[in-house]
Amino acid sequence: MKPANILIVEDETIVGMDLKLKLQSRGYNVLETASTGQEAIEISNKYNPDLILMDIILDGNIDGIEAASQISTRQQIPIIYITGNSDFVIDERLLATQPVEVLIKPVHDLQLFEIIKQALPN
Amino acid sequence: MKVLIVDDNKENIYLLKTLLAGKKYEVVSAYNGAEAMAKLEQDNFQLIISDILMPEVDGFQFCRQVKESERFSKIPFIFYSATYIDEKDEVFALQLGANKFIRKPLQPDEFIKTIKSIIKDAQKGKLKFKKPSLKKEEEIFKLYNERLVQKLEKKMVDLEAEVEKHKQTENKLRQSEERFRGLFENAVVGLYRTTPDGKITVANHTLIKMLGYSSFEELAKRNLKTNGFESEYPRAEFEKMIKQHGQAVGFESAWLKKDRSTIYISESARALRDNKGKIIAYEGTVQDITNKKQAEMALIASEQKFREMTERSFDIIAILDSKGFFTYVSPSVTNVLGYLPEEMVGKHFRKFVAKIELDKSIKTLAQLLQGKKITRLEYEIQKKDKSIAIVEINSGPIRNGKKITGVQLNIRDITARVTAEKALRVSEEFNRRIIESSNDCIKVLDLQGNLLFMSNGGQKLLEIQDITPYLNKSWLDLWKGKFRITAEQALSDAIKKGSSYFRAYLPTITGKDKWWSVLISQIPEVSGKVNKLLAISRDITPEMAAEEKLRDSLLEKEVLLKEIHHRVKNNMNVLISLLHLQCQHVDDLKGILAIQMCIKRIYSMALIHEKLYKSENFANVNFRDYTITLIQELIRSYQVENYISTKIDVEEISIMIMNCQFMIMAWVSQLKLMLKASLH
Repeated sequence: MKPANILIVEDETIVGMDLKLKLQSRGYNVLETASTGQEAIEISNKYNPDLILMDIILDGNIDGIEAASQISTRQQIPIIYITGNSDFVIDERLLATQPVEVLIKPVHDLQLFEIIKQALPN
Repeated sequence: MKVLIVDDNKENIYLLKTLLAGKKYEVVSAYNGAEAMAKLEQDNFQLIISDILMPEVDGFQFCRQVKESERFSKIPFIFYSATYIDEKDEVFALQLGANKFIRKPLQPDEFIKTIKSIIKDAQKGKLKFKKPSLKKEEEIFKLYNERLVQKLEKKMVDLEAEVEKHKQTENKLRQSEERFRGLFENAVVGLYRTTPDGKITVANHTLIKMLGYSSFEELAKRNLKTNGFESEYPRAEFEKMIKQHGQAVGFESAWLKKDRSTIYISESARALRDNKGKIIAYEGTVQDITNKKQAEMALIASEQKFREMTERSFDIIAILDSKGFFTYVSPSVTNVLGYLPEEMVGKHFRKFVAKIELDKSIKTLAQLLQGKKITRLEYEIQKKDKSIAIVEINSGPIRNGKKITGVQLNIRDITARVTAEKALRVSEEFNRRIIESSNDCIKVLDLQGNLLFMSNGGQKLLEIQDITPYLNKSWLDLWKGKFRITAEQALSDAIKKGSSYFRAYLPTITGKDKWWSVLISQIPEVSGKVNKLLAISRDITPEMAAEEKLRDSLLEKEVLLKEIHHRVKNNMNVLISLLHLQCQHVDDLKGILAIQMCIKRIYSMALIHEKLYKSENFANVNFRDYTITLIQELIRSYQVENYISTKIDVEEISIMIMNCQFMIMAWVSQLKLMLKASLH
């Protein structure tokens, strides 16, 4: 069985790197990390990942929600938001993108893996 | 000296007796010759004076008897006559033996002088006594008869003259009587005569007609006692009056006419009495005074009405004479001033006026006496208990013809009203000062929201120079946009619920920004009905500015906080990630545990940070919520949820953030030992 492709969208390099290592250690295939909304849209377009771990506040003009919103217009990819600001949990714009879950940083590993497992088909 | 007087006339005897007694003569009298003879027999007389014409035995016969008697012939005999005055009479008398013949009337002095001379002559024996010179009886009779016939003839002539005189008198009397009867029958007044037992014996035509009868006979059937003229005819009073005063004058009563209608009469009457003083009849005059009486009764009724009105009135009605003395004061004075009317009547008004009012009242009286009418004059009057009553006086002069004889006063006690007015003025003044000294804009509105009043303070706040153009115009129209709707709503709420409140923006006339807090409430009238509203607006512009600033500042802080929160969380995440990465390169188990310990602590810090951020109060954390989350997270991170069951029973409390940090440390250590943690 082919491991699932996961896209990490994270403007904080260290956090992104840590996340990538954790997922890889669990056997997932992690695509190159996108640090802006624009990159996230492009990589999604290019590789069509099975799951996106999306930070909300990103560098550049497009934030995570906007990026997820644009991606969802062409592709059906489950999205898990990971954000430091818990205010977004009730953000209407965010809810409109129908995410799998909104996780608040810092995320416990066990909780994260549990959610990923649920989000991926099979 | 004894004198015998013989005369059939009592008066003559009395005259002579008096005259002679005055001269110390002793007098005895007899009425005729026969009686005189008897008297002569009984006593000794020194003189006889005799009349001629007398009944039974006349003077001539008596003289003849005396002169023929032996015993009496020497007594001087004087004839004194008024009837036999002829020359022949004297001759006959002297022939019969009389000593002197005196004709009546004679002056008393002359008479006494004559008597004295005769007595003197008799005493001196000078007097001649002769036997009657006429011897023959026939001769005497002839002469006597001659004298008598002559006397009778004279008497006849006298009688005829007398009869003629009587006829004339009778005629005059008849004429007079006729005249009187005419007068009686046609008199303007009624005339009557009744018996004491009430029978009408005389009534004139006027009276008969007055009482509505056609004839005297018809009227006479009526008896005063048994069938009186009036049911309450005060007959007893009338009789008493006559008994006491001998007459009744202007006695007024009411009689019944034939047709039973009432006639008012004035009666004057007197009683007719017999010799013994017993009343035999009443006679009098009756005057019809019905018209006068009715007018009088109308006047009395009107006066009674006036008096009742006056006396029932709460006002005092008083009358002063032209000198200023009370002649009448209505009884209501007692209620108002405490005086009894009789304590004031007859006293001068100045006694009752307060001293400070004296000059004014004297001037007023003078004006009234000049004919001026004075109304609504306020006076201070001293009550009986020395307190002061404020009264309002309306007054006018009383005229008798053109002359002003007094002043009528209508006095009303207005003390309570004046006191209340004064109190009201004070209270109004006080209220006005409160309103004017207020820094709020105080307004009175009608139920349509029209402005009826705005305090000076309010005008100043709105920079209004002249309020007039705004009065009686809609106050709601001053508010613009959404604030007008708010104001309209508040007005209707105040009418419905009693009061309402709103905050709104309304710039001053010159355009300065103003925020207002407006309280509208009802102004109930005494009846409880509400026709007006009170609107008090307070200038809250400074507060609003501060509030806005605060709101801006809070907003700014919130954004900042969000940013900080985000940054802190991000950084914590970065730290955790860094430590994870670090862990990959550490082989030493102790080192790994230490790093993992660090990671856990950072998680805890992040959790607290998160809870604090969500908390309503930044200084406190809901301890229950925090504890539950923390325990769950810890247990999950240790992957021991399958071995440890948790029962969490924490009270809903808030804990200061500083204490909380120490608490976390203790908690983490204890949980690491897998011990049951319990905290209450």
